[in-house]
Amino acid sequence: MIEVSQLRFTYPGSKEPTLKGLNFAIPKGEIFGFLGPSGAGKSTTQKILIGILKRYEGTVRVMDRELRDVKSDYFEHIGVAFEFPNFYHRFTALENLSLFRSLYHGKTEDPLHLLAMVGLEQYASTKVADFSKGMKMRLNFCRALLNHPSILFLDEPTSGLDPVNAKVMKDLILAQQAKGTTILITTHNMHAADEICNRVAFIVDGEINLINSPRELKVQRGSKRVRIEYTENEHVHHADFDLQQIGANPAFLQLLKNKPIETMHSQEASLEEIFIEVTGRKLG
Amino acid sequence: MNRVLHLIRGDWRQITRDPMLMLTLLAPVILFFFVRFVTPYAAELARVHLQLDLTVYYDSFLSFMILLIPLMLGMMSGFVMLDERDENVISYYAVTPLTKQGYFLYRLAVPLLMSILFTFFLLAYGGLAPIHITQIAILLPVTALEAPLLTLFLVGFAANKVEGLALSKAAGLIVFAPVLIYFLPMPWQLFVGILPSYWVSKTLLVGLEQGASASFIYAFIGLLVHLLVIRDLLRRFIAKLD
Repeated sequence: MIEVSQLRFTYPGSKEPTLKGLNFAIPKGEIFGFLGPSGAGKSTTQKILIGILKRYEGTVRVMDRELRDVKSDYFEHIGVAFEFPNFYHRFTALENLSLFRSLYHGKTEDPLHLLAMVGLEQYASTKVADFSKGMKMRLNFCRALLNHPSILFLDEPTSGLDPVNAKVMKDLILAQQAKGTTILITTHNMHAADEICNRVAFIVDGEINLINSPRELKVQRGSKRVRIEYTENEHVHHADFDLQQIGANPAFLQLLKNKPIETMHSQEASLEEIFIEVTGRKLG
Repeated sequence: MNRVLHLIRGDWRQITRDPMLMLTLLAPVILFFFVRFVTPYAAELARVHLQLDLTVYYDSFLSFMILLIPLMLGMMSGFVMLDERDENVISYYAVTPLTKQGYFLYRLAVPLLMSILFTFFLLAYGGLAPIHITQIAILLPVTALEAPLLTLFLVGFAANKVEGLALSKAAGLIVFAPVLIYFLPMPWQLFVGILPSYWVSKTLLVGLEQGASASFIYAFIGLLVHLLVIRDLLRRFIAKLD
């Protein structure tokens, strides 16, 4: 779906390139996450992929076309949700969606149907100015789906959402993937990326340090141990055991048998820890 | 075409929900009625009661009025664009099949076309001075270009709508400065020619005094001046947007 090789980009008037030779490929139907601190080149990469920055070096092929040469019909096939929802605040949700829908020539989705999908149908005639942040984010997501896009670009889709709304958003994203949509997410929220991305790329200083699936990363990079917390004499203690041959480890089995267990956690690394280890940078 | 109709409908919604924009849109209509009906009435009153002949000032008066239409319509489009930039809607248009270029084209074409329409009505039916259709045809392009120029002036220099309001006052002064200064003798008044609006008034006045063919050269230079300034302002705005 997307093939990028040796992608370099330098902003006019800047000496340092912002992107220093990125290589990656994203197959159809994948949820791919770009992770990195702000200023790492995430949004520049996204701007190139959504076709608004064209003076790049290298090749960027999306749906078998070089992006440098695509015309406005490219926008018929992609959906974009920016980090900060941008709407006409004096218009209702439905008026906003109808206006943006009219910009497409191809087949489009009924805005009311989209609003119902994200649970906003009863607010169709409410002005966007009166929407909460969570409602705006869902409306933003609706708008990105108006034209039945083959590729969806989501910028920090869960930022600023409470846990309930963040869960709603994740489910919506996964539902789109189930329909075969390819989804690109840029975020610095490792937790959200971990939950929904099939693969993630760590991007720092305009370079990709690593691409892999979150699960692989966590298993590979973590220590293969389990930590058990148990109570003894009204105090909480913990003990660590190697996962290798753990079923035959007498100390482990004794502990399970004889002590009241409070928690058991395998010690795989979190994405956040791996990111810091790989890039030497903190997120944020 | 369907797309443009939807955009116009959206604009109509935006304008009717904002009293200031509504007033700006109505201004050319009010202006027309003022010129058409109030001015002759006032002139008549002055003649009867003050023995003053105001009709000799009709030409100069009209050269003021003709600038007001693109000023108002250009400002209106500018305010809408400032709103759209503040709300980040422009960056959204940029990723739709409308594209950023299409958006600019639309936002500049609307005040241009409306200015052509209203200016035509003012000149053809305003009734202050008999103007030949050829003269109107020469005047319309240079006059109407004043509108997108002012739109771009506003969005190029104002960081937000509040600054836009302040700038619109300044723009009003810049528009009318040449009209005051063209009382300077030639060739000195040509220095005022760096202000695009000078050429609009000059074309009108020369046309009224010496006929359409004599005014053509002023319209032509005016057209070039407007296009050059528009090009620079557009670059400035696009640079600011990215």
